[in-house]
Amino acid sequence: MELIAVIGFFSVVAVVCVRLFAAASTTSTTSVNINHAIRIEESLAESWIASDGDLNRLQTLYPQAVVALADPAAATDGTLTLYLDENWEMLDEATDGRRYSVTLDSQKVAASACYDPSDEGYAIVMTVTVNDLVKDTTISSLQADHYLGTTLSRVDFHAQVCPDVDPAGMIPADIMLPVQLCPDVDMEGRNILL
Amino acid sequence: MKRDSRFGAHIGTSSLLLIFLTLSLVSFGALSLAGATADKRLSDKLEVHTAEYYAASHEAEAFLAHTQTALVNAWKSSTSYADYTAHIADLPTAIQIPVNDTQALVVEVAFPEPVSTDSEAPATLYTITKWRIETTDTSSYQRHLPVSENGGLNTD
Repeated sequence: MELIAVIGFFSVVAVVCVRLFAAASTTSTTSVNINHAIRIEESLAESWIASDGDLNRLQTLYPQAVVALADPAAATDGTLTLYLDENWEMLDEATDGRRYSVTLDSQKVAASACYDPSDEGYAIVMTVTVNDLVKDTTISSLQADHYLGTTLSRVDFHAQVCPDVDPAGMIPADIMLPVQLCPDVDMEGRNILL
Repeated sequence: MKRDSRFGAHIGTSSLLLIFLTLSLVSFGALSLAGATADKRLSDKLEVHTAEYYAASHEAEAFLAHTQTALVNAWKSSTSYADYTAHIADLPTAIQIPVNDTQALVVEVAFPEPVSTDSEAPATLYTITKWRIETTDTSSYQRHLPVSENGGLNTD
């Protein structure tokens, strides 16, 4: 009688303990995956910012990455995809054993659409998403943006330095300002000596 | 000697073994789950902190966009470099953006002399001189043992 009670109780305890260990294993795996995902996301995001969103330049840092540009003339608009195995090691495009994918969507937008409507210039925005290809779930995603600046044409500088002068004709193309390097021009725009 | 069986079940070796195994298994299981949960909580904090940093970064980039717009407008409305520097004299050169309760992203910019280029790529009229996470927590921690000069513990 005692042995039967012991076996029955032990069965219940064993089931509970197996569930505990299984939950611990699942939680631990999730935690490890999040850590890896964030490490890759941050690395990609900072590399992308340093490359000013140029996916071709970014690919030189991640040679295994697959880049698909929306427009071949605009390297800032497109998608960069990385594939990783179950140990979070990067894989070449043709290699089997893909377990995770990291997708970076990049787009160049007007700064007014990303920040204040009165802001001038351009910005780049991106989303990095890390997916588990086997479970078909998203592990983590990250959004970031970077202000690029404004397009400052030479005309802007010519108009500044030589306000009464046709900017296309009066200053040789190889002159690099600072503004003081327009020695024959009165800074007030009068008495043009060129 | 005859056993007294009036008081229910007997406690034998198997029952003792069961108690020991049950305690051991439940303890290890609970410890394992507690450790994994702590790791998961840390990972979640890391994820939240990363999102907070990039939210602060977004604010900093907005500050840079606003600064650049002001610089371009000042440049276009100035008649000389001296006039330009006078226009931008009041522009803020630093911003501190809270990341969380204890940290802030500090960004500082400088306004060097504008230089034209032949590049069609967007450029900026400012230079970032500082982009750093700094601690804003002003809590004062006790950093020494309360030992008195005569060698005993100071009970003050």
